[in-house]
Amino acid sequence: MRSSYSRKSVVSRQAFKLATQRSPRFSSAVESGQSRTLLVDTEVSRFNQGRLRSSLKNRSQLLPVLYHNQLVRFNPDNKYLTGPEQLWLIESVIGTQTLAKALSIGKPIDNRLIENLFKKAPFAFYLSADKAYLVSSDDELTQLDFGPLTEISALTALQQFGVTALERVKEKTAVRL
Amino acid sequence: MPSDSNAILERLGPAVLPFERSNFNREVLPGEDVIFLDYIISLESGQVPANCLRCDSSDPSLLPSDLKYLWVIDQNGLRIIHEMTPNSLAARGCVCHTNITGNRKAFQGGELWFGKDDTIYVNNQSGRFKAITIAQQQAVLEYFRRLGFSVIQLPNRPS
Repeated sequence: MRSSYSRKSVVSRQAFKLATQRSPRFSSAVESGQSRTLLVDTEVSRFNQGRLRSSLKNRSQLLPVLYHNQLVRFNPDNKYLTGPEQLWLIESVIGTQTLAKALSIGKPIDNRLIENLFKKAPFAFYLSADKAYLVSSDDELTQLDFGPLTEISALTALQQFGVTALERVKEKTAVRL
Repeated sequence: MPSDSNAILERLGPAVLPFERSNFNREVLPGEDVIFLDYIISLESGQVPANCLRCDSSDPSLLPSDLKYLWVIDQNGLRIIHEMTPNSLAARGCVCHTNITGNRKAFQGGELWFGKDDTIYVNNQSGRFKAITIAQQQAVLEYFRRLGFSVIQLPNRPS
């Protein structure tokens, strides 16, 4: 059963725009001038409750990515990586084999997967005595340069400083915070 | 290599694979093990390369990153590469220390700048081949000096 509601009467302009952007069905309807009669009553109700918008988002949010000849799914709603082109940062810190093993399971690359990788990481990071530097190792020379060090877990370091900083620490031994 | 090289190499070493001295157990990434032979400069002659990039400032905190070289001491001696050398084969987009060694063992690694007066400023900032003891750091300076360079140790604190 189709409805004759105009788009103004059933959804906000922003929600309508979002729907037309994310749904081929809506987009094609808009192009053919049928948008005024596209939303059925049940859909209107769901849309107004935010459910349809949510389901549309979930359907389209995972990006298929070919990474080292392996098809993986990347969740762009990601607080650690700005995009799949930054996956190498995770690989650089965690290691090629560890990342490959995690991706082979088929789970999407999202916040949870990244946090789990760092939670299981067999290494830590260290804060300098003045908390101004993050360093990669605790040894005689590092203590000479930075003073007594405070160990923090890889996961804590990820959550506090982000993966770009951790990759820099790994590559250059230290970063200024 | 300097005279009495075995003794100094012993103090520098042992030679290690990338990241072996750090607590990271990982492999180098694709493209990071390609030897950039055309861009690598040997300093074994003890001469500052005539066409090298030089810094105006002698203030260590003002050494610009675009004039930075990466240095490595391995079985082939002391060699450098300009860090901003593009590496389209690697995700990071520029070269790293293993683009000098080809993912093989090295004694030490770090960064350096050339001053206007032929002074060389060095640090030990290499995640792959860094020094971990004061003795190793001192041996690095001695290696440079035995080749004939005037060298100044920089703090390993990034500015």
